[in-house]
Amino acid sequence: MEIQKINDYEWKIPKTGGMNAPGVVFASKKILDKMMQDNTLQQVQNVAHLPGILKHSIVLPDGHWGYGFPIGGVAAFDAKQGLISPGGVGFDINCGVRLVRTNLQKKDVDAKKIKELIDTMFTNIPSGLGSKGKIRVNRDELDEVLSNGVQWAVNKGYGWKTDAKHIESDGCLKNNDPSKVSDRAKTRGMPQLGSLGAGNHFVEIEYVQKIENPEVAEAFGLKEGQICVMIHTGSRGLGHQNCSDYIRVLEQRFSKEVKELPDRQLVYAPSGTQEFHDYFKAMNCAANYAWTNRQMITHWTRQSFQKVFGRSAEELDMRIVYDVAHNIAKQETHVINGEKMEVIVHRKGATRAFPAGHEEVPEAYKKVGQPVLIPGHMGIGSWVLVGVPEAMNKTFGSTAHGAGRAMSRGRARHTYRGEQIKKDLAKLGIYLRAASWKVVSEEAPGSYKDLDEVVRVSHEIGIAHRVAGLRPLGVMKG
Amino acid sequence: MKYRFLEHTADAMVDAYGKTKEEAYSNAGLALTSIMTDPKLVEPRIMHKIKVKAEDDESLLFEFLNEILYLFETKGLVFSKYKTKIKGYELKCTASGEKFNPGKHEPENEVKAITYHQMSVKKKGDKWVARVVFDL
Repeated sequence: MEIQKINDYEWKIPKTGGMNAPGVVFASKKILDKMMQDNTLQQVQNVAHLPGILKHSIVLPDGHWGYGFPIGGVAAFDAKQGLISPGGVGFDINCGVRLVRTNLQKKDVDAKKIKELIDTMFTNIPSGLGSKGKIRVNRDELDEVLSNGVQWAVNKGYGWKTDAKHIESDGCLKNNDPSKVSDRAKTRGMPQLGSLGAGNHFVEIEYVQKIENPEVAEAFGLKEGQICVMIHTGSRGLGHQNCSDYIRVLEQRFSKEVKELPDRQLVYAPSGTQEFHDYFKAMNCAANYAWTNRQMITHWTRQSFQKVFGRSAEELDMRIVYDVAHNIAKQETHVINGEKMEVIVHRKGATRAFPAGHEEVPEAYKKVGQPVLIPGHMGIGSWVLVGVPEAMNKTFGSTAHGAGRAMSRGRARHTYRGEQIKKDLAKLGIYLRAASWKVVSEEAPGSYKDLDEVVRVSHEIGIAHRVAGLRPLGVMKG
Repeated sequence: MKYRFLEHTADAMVDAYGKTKEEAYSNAGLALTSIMTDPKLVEPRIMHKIKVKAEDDESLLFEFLNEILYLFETKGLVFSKYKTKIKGYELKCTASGEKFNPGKHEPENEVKAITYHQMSVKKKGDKWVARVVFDL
């Protein structure tokens, strides 16, 4: 495969064969070399085969081999003459992260308190393989969740009135229709509302280790030494089943189009078709479920802090900093070749990163830009960045979503032992509680790419700027 | 060998083998179980009949594995034995296992979904190989 260097952080895969646009890789040489060791770049090429792709098929600095789209992949299509691809959103629709702040300082929480907090959260938040929520919703209530998202949870007492204003899309995509989500998806999703799941999903207690941009950090309510909580999970079985259902519907309805694709997983619904609208509405339902799921987990996190500190969550000022979806397709306005256009932006393992002044940035952050949350692995913590205008030109307003894996789960399992990782983390002052040792070994810090490098490259390219670096103190793993 | 996990950066890619196509499908089911728990810990105490239909070998595998996942998530069933019959693109399977019990089954990873990425069902020499990538 030919790769042309544009500059130190941008590489072009020229349009060849059946590609409808070139590919562009945002990476340092070090990261690019890593990407070349697996099928990441092949998948960038595959995505470029989708008809009507605008500008280029993008992979971000955390990019790695996924299924269909690469993880860290972004692709946009004309809303009226393009398409939507369920595989380009992923099975875990609106998998994402949420950052909750507190007014506690690192000095207020010693190792004993961290253990107590994580153990309390472990009891309060269902996690692990087959985990089910503590509450039971019926069909009608589930439909309300799918229609109203976070607002449903807040109305039921699982949150504060101000919460929705600090969540991407206010925690609810309005263009939804619960009747477009299958019974099977609802049956899977009903008992799982308010559960973490397993794999790379987690809840972490972190502290702000360093501030790189004091002005923006202040707008986000972040200070050095401050205790925060990061939550990473998605739409559980409801989203997974919804994606599977629509892949089956679309490949039967558009069998001719599928045959022309290099990967069946890229199956799509052309704009304007009934299937396009049906999937879009069903996907938005699943996204609303995911935001509600993170909302319930936020509620139980607040309760856990209340219990351990004997103070109310309000007194602890446990506000949501922000919540981002990193597996989603959104209809957005972008400027293409100097003209405003309505487009469908697929972000598969990518975070929206809108700049100051953008109408979709919450009021509280309008002057500085949207908070971008990038979690790493359990040994390193997370970064908070801020959206900047350049991302609108380069990446349809997107940046990386995580460290990205470097090693397969199988190899990680043979290389690391869960119990040893717990000991190693303890030496770094990090308390780990997990539902499965095997999952811990697969999630070993050594099996991930260098988060700081991914973030540095995002910053250098100018698709998001560093604001604050957070380090973990306690980790809860599914 | 019934199945083998291959290198994949983020997810689980597996080749399932069989002397017949049916056996390869059964072993793909077993590989799915093995991501969630050790199949050796699952006693075949409950028999469950699975029936799926599709349009080709790949969609049949997709539907079959999806059904196993669905039964785990909605009925809490895990299986350690799969007996599969295929006629055209219709699959019938008697799966044996039991109710998932975290205390007994040492829970491992959660499978989010079955993907079509690089999926294939092929005869190689005298062996059938079913390749599938699971989203974890």
